[in-house]
Amino acid sequence: MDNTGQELGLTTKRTQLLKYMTFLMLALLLSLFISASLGAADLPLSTTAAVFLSRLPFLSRVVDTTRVESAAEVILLQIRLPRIVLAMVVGAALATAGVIFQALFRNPMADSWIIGVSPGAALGATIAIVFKIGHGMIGLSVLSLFAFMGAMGTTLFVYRIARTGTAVPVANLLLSGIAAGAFLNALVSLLMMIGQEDLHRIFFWMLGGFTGASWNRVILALPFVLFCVVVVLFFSRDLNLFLLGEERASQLGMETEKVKLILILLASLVASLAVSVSGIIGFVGLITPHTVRLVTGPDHRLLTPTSALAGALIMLVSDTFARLVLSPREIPVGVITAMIGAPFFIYLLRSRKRGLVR
Amino acid sequence: MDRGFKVLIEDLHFAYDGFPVLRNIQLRVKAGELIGILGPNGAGKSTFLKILCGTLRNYQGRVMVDDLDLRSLSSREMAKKVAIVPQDSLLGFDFTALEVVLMGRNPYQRRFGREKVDDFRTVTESMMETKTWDLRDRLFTQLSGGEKQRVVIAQALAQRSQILLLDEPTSHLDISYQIETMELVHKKSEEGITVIAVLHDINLAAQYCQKVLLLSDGEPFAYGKTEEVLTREKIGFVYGVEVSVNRSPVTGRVYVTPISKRWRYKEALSGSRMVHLICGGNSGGGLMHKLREQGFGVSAGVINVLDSDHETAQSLDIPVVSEAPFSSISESSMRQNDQLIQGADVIVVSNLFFGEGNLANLRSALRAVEEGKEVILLSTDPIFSRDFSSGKATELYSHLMAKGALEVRNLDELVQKIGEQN
Repeated sequence: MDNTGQELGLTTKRTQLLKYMTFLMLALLLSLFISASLGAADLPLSTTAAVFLSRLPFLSRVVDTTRVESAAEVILLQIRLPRIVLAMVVGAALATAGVIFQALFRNPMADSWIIGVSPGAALGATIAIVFKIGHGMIGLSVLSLFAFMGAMGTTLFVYRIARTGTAVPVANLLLSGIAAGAFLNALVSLLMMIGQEDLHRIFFWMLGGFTGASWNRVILALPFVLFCVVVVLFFSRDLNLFLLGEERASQLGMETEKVKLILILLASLVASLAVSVSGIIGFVGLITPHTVRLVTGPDHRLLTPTSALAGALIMLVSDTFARLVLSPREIPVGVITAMIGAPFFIYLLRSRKRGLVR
Repeated sequence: MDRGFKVLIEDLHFAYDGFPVLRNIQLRVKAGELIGILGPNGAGKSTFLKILCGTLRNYQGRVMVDDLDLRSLSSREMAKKVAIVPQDSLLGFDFTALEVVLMGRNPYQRRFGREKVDDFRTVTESMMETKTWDLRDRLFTQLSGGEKQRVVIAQALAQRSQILLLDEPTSHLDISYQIETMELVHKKSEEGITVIAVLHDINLAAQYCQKVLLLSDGEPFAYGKTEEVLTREKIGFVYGVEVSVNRSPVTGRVYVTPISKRWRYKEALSGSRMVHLICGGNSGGGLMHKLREQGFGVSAGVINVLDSDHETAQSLDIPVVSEAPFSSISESSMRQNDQLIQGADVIVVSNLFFGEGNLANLRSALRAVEEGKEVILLSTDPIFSRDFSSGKATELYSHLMAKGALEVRNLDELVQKIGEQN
């Protein structure tokens, strides 16, 4: 009877995780190099590799970049790389938020919009644009700040109105989120009517994208997102328990309300950060955990880290397409994710396989 | 004086949105007791369990677990002390059975730690005990209802708590797993674990529980030793059905047989014929049921106490004239019997054995037929083969038939005859 985890086949989980992570890391790295080489000015892969590798410690002395034009170096390091990194950060953030909300709502159709993140961010951004707050000062980061405050504010508001006594029933959260979302969308429409000259800007912000990516934005988002994703990993077991329902989770010893508050805060924080630096990009938070679950199963010890990396990869690839398809014009990346995501989602719905709610 | 109880409940009241669900519950449970909670649907049984496991905390009154106020305990502490097997499991995601059982170890696991050898040992034991070890790699969602139930029981056992609550643990199980589950639960209680189980099946409770709490409309109707609570009167009052309660000759425990409402309904019809049954020695029990079923009023006599026919008559609430065990029919019993015969439309003499002791019954029948009553003799076996009174009974039979008594060979014929002459 002295079974260890090994005999029970649970260590295979760790091997599995290692396998998925290695695969995704390699895919990310490859995509990074390819994506950086492609664009209005096509650069050979060797140049890209040389520039990037020269920036790594120890390798700088080995790699020879003397023959690389300085223009290419600027394009790669100041334009393409921050955009690539930002796309990855935002993809990972949205996917992680999706994982959390899908577990909390016990529904693979849930996403951060469900609790009001997107409409909140949209309202914040619209206010900043229409009333020209901070315009000409620090410019875009004020817009980000407003979007962030709108998203977080809405989430907390939804959490509060969903509260009954000491508990926050998940069904209440869902309904409050929908109600708040509808109200905020109406406000956004109203503001758009008032600030007609800014319609174009608001519209493009809401479609989402990485056109204005800069190292500043990366620095704004990366540390927080990384921190949140790591913290979420420590809640993997709690996320699993949530799938049994809140009542059962508490019977198995979870402080449900406390953990739920922490998880909602974490999820809204990463989602709000993502939205504030990139606008509203749909479907990545919804599709990524869903698809990953088909491969890894529902155990969050595998699902959470794998989804974060997969989200980064999906966003990077989508953004690369957004840059290239109608080059030199750009398609908003939200259009790409929706155009690929929606049909894929319908396909998933129709082919009820592993991981879908029966 | 209040200490030393595993579970102590005083003046427990609970209401959902102002609607009272539980009222005035008092309960003291010692370690190792196996307590059944019975009551009709909506009596508050599941609510009661949800309070005990800490899910519903906005109750009034005092609930103590291990001498500690339940409300002072965190979920984690509660999960170490009390495990509950809920009625339904809602898991819609694909975990394997092993992963599901492993979740039962949650209260012992730290946020930053991995499963320890101890966790695996406990999980393995729990799965062996519930016979779910072979299911460990199967997906929970693909298990049958009974398999799921056993996996959830294993999950609760993996919590290694001293108190185990079960909410209708046998509802999805076939009879063999019902027994196995109850045996397991019983074994756990013998190991010192306190078990409180909501049960649908009165007989499972009767067979396994030491004590029973009978809830009626949110209030305790009775609490005590199983055989003291599970009586015909109490069950009849709480569930609103007629039952017969007997002691099983096999297990020695009480068992409860529900009596179809149809029978009582038909009996209530006015104008149904009254049948008086002369029987004994297990010849009349089936007849009583059959006649009741057909809607006839039934009385019986004279039967010796301890005779199984006497027991049946009592459990069916049939008026019966009785005689002391193993004694001959006395004058007074015979007169009482004649009174019942006066009130009956038909007198049936069952396929019983006759000796000197019960010949008086046949004489009563003879008087009845002489007075013009309808008498039917059920002779599955010929009378001479049942005559242990050196021919006297056989002689009385021929007198009876000469005076107009009817002889039939089987039950269907009998029922037909009684009905025909209505």
